[in-house]
Amino acid sequence: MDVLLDVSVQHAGYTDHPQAVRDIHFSVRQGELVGLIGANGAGKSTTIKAILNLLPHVNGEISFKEEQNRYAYIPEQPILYEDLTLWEHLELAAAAFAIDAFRFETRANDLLDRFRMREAKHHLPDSFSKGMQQKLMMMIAFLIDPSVYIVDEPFVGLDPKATVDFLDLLDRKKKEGAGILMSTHILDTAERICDRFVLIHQGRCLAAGTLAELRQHFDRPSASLYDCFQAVVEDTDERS
Amino acid sequence: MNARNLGSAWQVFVKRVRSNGRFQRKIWTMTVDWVIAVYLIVPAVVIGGLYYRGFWQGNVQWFSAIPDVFVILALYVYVWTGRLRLFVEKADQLFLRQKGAWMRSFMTWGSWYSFALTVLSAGMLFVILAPYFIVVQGMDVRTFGLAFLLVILSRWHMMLIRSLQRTTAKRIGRWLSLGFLFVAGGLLFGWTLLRMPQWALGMPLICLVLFISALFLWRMKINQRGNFLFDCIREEKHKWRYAKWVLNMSSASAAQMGVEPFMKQKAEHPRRSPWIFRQSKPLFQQRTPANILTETYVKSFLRNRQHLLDFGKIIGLCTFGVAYLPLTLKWIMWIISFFLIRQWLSGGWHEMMNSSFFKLFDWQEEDLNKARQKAVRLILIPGFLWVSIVLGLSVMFI
Repeated sequence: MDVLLDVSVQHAGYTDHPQAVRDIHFSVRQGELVGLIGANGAGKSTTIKAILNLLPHVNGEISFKEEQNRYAYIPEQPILYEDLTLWEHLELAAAAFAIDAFRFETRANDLLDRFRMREAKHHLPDSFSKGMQQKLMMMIAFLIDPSVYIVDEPFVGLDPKATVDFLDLLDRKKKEGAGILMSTHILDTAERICDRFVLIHQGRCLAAGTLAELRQHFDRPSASLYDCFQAVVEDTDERS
Repeated sequence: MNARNLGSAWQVFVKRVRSNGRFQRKIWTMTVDWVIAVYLIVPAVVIGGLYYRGFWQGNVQWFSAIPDVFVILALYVYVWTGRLRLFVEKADQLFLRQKGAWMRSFMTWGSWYSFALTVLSAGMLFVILAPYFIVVQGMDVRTFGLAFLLVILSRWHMMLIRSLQRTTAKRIGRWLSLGFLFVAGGLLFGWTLLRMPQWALGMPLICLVLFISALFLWRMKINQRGNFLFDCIREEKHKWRYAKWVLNMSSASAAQMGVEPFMKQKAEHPRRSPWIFRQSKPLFQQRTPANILTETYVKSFLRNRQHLLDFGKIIGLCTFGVAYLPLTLKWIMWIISFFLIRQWLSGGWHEMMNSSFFKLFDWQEEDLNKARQKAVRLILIPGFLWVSIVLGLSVMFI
């Protein structure tokens, strides 16, 4: 499988904390969902910001396989423009990625139905609930149809049906060959859907691999992802 | 409330006032190039000073020709722009809100702070307008003083009434009540200033009534319940009222200035559909990225009430300049108008491009330039055309 995103960060961070994350090395391959796992404040979002080139200090190498339509980013907090309708948001995203009118209409209408947002097509996002705003962010990402999806805590604010729809769509994109990097702290869902895991704690990548590899690494043959995560956190905390 | 608590609440209030002062100062000092400003301000002060002396001596003809209705209208606009600053924050609902006495203290000090600011700004305004009232209109010092008092009390009224307004009312109801307040308040204000000086007891009586009613409104505000979140929304808006203008004119973003960006709080009844282009109707047939970007700017400009209001203010200021200034200054004002409107619209463009949503995408530089020029032109032309027509008419009938 081709590597779509290769991350090799020695350290990255902010002006007042330039080494917020250190030694983060992993890759996302074609048709693979990689879970970026960590507690609150572990450095998941900082790692994502480093990948998106949003940090003032990044010492390392981040490379995408594709030059065009490299990635779509779905942030934890929806980022929208208050004076544009839902449809205009989609149209603007299509313009930024040079999607022609026919492909735009087909994909956008399909997404409107899939996310049950047709009634809100000409509404302003200020009138949406957080879940609806999140759905719009997801629609924009699926409209762009990139090779890599970077998703930050996607389940916060989504209703159960929207979560299932979102996971179905992710699965379909995965089968079509996209790579997905998903940051989450909801470990039972992550265990069920992710192919590989990158465990982050206190700004460092402590372990990476499939669940089987993590079990082997921690010498716990029947451990869940939660157990592995607990083991790595306790081990690190004891050592520090 | 015991003395210790009072001290703490007062300290928090003062801290917020100071922090607001630092914020406003930071925006101004970072955006205004002081070397250029000095080159503009010093000559403007000298020329303004000479004119001001001329106003007192009564030898500036155009100054005497300004209709009194126009001055009353300008004063009423000033009265209408009064805003109550309470320095409450959304985070206060976690702790401070539970302390009723603290919140009442914030309301009280916020009211006095806003009142003191009004006295200061109205004082400056009346110093500027003194030659008009005293030399041109022949007003005696007593009536002039009462007019000053009337403006302060009217502004305080507007502050309190607008602050008492609840968001629970339907949008149309809010707009209708605001419209009624504006028209009725304006008529009453104008009538008082025009007619009352003829009746010796008229103005003092009206000032007394306004004072008593202001105290009543103030008590209502202090005891008002269920308006906290709307007060927070308004507070954030008031904090950014002038800062947004400065950033807009300098085409800079809050992040570049090193200040927290404007946090738009969700309104209680947000508008569901835009008032114009309700069906997301495209403006251009050709759906190129540049056209879609142009369309985005034009639509968001027309849909944003604050943008339209600010644009109206700039056009109004330019119209006043080209209509009432002496001939040479009219032409200078006309040229300044062009650059002022263009600069302000370009600032709006940069504000849009600096928004987080636009930063999610990589735009082609060529598309951005094309779109910016086209979008700014589309809004600049009607505004500048209006200023030009007024200039043409005023030159013809000079």
